[in-house]
Amino acid sequence: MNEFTPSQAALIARGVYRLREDSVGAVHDRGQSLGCEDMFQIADSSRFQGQSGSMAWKKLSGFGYIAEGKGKYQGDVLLVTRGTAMRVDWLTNFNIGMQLGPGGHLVHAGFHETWKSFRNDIQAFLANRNPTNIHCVGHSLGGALAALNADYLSDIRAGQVKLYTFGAPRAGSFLFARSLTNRIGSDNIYRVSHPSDPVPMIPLFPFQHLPHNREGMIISNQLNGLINAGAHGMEPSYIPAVDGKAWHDLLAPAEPDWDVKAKTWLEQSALSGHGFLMGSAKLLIMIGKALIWILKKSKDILLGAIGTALTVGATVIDQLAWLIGRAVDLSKELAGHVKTLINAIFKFLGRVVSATVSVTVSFLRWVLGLLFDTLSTVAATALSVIV
Amino acid sequence: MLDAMKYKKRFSVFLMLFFFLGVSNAMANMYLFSEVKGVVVKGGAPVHDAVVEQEYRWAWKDEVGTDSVKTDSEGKFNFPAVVKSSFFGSLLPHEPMVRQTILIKHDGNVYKAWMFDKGNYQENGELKGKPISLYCDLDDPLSHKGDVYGICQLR
Repeated sequence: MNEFTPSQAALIARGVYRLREDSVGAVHDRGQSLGCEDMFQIADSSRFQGQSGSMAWKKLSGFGYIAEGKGKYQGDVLLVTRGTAMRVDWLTNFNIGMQLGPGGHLVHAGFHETWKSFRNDIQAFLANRNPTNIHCVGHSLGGALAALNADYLSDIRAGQVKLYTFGAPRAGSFLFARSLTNRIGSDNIYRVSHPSDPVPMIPLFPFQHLPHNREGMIISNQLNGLINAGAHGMEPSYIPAVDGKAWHDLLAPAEPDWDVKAKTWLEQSALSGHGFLMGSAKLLIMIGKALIWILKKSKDILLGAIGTALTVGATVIDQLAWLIGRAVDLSKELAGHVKTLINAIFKFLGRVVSATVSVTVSFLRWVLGLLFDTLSTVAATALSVIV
Repeated sequence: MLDAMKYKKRFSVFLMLFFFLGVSNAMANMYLFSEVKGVVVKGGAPVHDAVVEQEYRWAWKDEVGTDSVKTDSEGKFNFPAVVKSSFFGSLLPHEPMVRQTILIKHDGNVYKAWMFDKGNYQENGELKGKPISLYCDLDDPLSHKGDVYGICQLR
């Protein structure tokens, strides 16, 4: 099968950043590479532009390229998208509403808006072509865009799609992840993340990683276990980490039953009251798993009372808070677990929770909002300063 | 009152981010172009008064910077390090991308001395920690030295 090695995919994901302001010819004149020249036919016409940003702050810049294969890759197509390189790109990341994506499922609104800005270039390239494989590659925001490319291309049945992402955030809902995984097959999804890279941790529920039915690939954590923006870069982090590796070397070990593990973690944490480490990547993973487990329990408790399916433009946090808050009212056991979870969230954020706090819907909304806001980074506060 | 609460909340979120996304990194120096030392020769002799131009393009701030010096009687030139800081650039994960160029202009000709895209903000991160010291023979052809492209040899 014509699949890239991890190193090939990583160099391609890095190389596309060179097209932000330069043409393909200009990159080659500088003696620089896109990482795919020996496999694909690249020309100035391969490059396409895209629009990042939000509302009044939008910018058009080089966002990727699409090219036809040669040699071993004859008949294949390569579609690469770049990630966050400019301040304005972060406005795309902050635009966290949901829209119906290319395949008809809910996806991140900001990523989708950027994707729509270059959709016509992809359509034009594929006219009168019938590729065997289409390789979609990207890092960071570019990884989310690659997932939307994969969603679109598999939806129109343009060819066998292979998706390679590094440090990518979650691009869409559970239904999006399940549908895309089923269409292209989990064996064709190579999602690589670093345990300390904060970007794959956002956005939180209801966004879901690909493939939906197993963990992605993971590189070893050479940092100290704390979430670190430095773990996100291709050159300092991902490229050296995958050098010489095969995909099976990067497969995450089989995970235990997360429902059991999350429940056990909550119970043991409640008993020991042990110190959670502020900013710990591991703690955040357990918070996420425990939150999902609590949501499942809440749904079980409130069976029949839920008419709050996620909708376009829905305020997700309000729905989560309502769901958990109502379930807490009905279940003492769940109330205990929710308090433990809140304690963990507060410790993660470096705050202290009062022992007498009452778990109301408004309090839950505030806590979840605090967590989500924090993980979605400085949002509006940052924007007012950096733009 | 509502605004005050909103800003207080945002400020607290901001502070927390500051801590757990890498307080040690925030406001750290960002080396867009490490110090460059070099010498220009032609026909085995130093080239005096050649114009050496340096340019960087920093993707994060969409910023361009230039500098220009002339070689001395021994053909030597020097560019100090270009060091910047960006609070949000340190805080918000992104791919560092600094397009670096050095051109040498002499006798009506323009020579590509250094073409490189820097993917980190480390001092001497261009050459994995080794300081940049160039030997630029104007008679040499363009070639790759690792990812660096140009006529100059790395010393």
